[in-house]
Amino acid sequence: MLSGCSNDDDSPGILTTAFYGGTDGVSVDFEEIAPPDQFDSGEEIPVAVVLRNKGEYSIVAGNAKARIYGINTNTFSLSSDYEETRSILRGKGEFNIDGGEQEISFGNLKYDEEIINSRDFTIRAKACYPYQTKTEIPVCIKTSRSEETGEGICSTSEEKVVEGSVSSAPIQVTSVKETLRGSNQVRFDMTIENKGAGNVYSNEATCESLEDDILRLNQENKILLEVINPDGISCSFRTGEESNRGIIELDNGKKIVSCTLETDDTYEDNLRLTLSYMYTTTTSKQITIYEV
Amino acid sequence: MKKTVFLVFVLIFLTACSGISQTSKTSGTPDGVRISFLDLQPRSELRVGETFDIGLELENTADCNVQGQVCVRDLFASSISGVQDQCQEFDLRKKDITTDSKKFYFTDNVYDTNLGNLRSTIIADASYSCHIELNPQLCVKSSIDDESLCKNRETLSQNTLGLKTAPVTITQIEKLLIPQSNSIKMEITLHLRKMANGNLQGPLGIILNYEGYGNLRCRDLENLEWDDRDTEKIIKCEISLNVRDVEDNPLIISIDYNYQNSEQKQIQIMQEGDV
Repeated sequence: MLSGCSNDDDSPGILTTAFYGGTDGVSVDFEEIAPPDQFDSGEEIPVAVVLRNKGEYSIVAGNAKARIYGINTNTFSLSSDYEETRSILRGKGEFNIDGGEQEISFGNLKYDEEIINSRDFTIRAKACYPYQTKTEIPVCIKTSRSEETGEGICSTSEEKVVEGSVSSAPIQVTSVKETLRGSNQVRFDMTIENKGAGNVYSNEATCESLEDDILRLNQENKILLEVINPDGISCSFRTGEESNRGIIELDNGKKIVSCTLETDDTYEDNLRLTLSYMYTTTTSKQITIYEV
Repeated sequence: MKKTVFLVFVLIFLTACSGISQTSKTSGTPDGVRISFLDLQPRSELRVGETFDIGLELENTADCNVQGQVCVRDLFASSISGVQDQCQEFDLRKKDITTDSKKFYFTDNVYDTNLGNLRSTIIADASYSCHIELNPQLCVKSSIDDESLCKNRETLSQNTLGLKTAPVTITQIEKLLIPQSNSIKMEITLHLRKMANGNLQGPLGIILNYEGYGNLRCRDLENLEWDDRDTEKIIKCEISLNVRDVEDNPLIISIDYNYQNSEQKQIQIMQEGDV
C-alpha cells in the first residue's frame, strides 16, 4: 500500500509540470570507434558522430547538422562540409524521456602522409541546429489599486520562474520579476541567459553562413523573443520599437528584457514566451596515427 | 636453472631500461661527429725516422646518419711533413640506444727531417653530410580573437619539441599568427645553434612545409654564413593560410648540410740520441 501511494512525480516520463526543464539541447559526440583512439597510417577509418536531443524541442529532418574540423580535412580525405540529419530529431517527451538520437556519418578518413613513429591529432566536430525555448510561467496581473487594498488573489512580489515552467533548452529564462507601475500597468523584467556550453546565433542564420567570420559576428548572441501570452504585452527591443516580438542581444551571455502590460483587472495568467535561435556545440577526440 | 634464466631476464630488462633513458636525452644540443686519437697512436714523442700510425675513433653523437671522409695532415710544408695527406670514407648511423663509432688507421707515417727537435701538430678533419627533420604540430585558425583552442603566439622548445642533436640544429621555434585582409599569416621563427668545433661547408638547406598547405617562404637564407663569434642564427619563414576553423597540422622542417670539424694532437719529434 505504501509503495502504491508513493509520489508519482518520481516516476520517469510522467510530467506534473508544463515542462521537464533543464539546460540541455543537442549534444554531439564521436562514435566509440569512429574513429578509434589509435590506428595505422593508410588505413581507412570510419568517422561518425551521434547527435542526442536532450532538450524539449524537436528538430525536423535536415535542420540539425554536423561537420568535422580541427584537422586538415583534405589531408585526411574527409569533407569539411556540413552533413544533416535524415529524420526528425525528437526532443524529450513523455513517451521518450531520453529524447531522440541520430548518427551522422562522414565516410572514411585515410591519412597517407609520411609519419616517423607516430603523430597525434585532435579531431573535432561541431553540431549546428535551430532550437526553441518555451515557457509557461505563472504570473499575477493586478492593478496598483488592488495591491493597495490588499486584494489577495495573487502576489507580484516573489520570483515567478518555478521548476518546470521553462522547457529544457540551452537558452533559459532564469528569472521573471514583476513591478506595478502607475495605476494600471504591470512590468515584467525577464532575465534570459545562455546556460548551455555552446554559442547562440540569430534564428535567421544558416549553419553555412556561420562559417564566415563577419557574418558570424553579426549573428552572434541574437535571439528572437515572442510573447504569446498575455495578449497586449509590449516589450522594449534593441531596435527601439515596442512590440510583443523582436530581437534581443545577449551581453556576456545574459540579457534582461522589460515588458509592460496595461490592465484594469486582477487575475492569474501564464507568461508564454518562445525564444528562437540557432545553437552550436562542439566535441573533440584525440587520435594517434602510427607509422606502418 | 630457473633462477639463472630469471636473473638473465632481469639483467636484459635493466640494460634495456638504461638504454631507453639515454634515448630520451634527445635534447637539441649542437653536436656531431666526435674525433679522438687512439691511445699512443701516435705517441706524444717520436724519433726522427720512426714509422708511426695515426689511429682515430669517430663517434656519431648526432641524430642524423652521417656520410663523409676523415683526413689527416700536419702543418709542415710537404718537404718536411711526416704525415701523408690521406683520407678515408666513413658512414656512421645516427644515435639510437647507443652511438655508432668506428676506428680508422693511417699507417706508414714518418718524420725524416734532420732539422733538430720539432713540435708538430697532427690534424684530423672530418667532413660529412647531415639531414635532420622535425615535425612539430602547430595550430592555425581563421580568427585571432578566440585563443581557447589555439594560441596566436607559441614557443616550442626542448621539452615540447623533441629536438634533434646535430652539428647545426634548431633549439627553439616560435609561431605567430597575423591577421591579413582575408587570410591568416603564420610566421615561424627558427633559432639555430652550431656546435663550437667546426663549421658548415657550403650552404644550409632548409625547407619548411605546413602539411596540406605547402612550403613556407624563408628570408635571409643567403646570410647563413657562420663565423667564429656566431653562436645563434635566426631565420624567419611565413605562409598565408585560408582556414575555415581551428586546425592542428604538422610543420615538417627539413635541414640538409655538409659540416667539417677537426681534432688536433701535438707531438714532439726528437733527434736520434735525444730520447
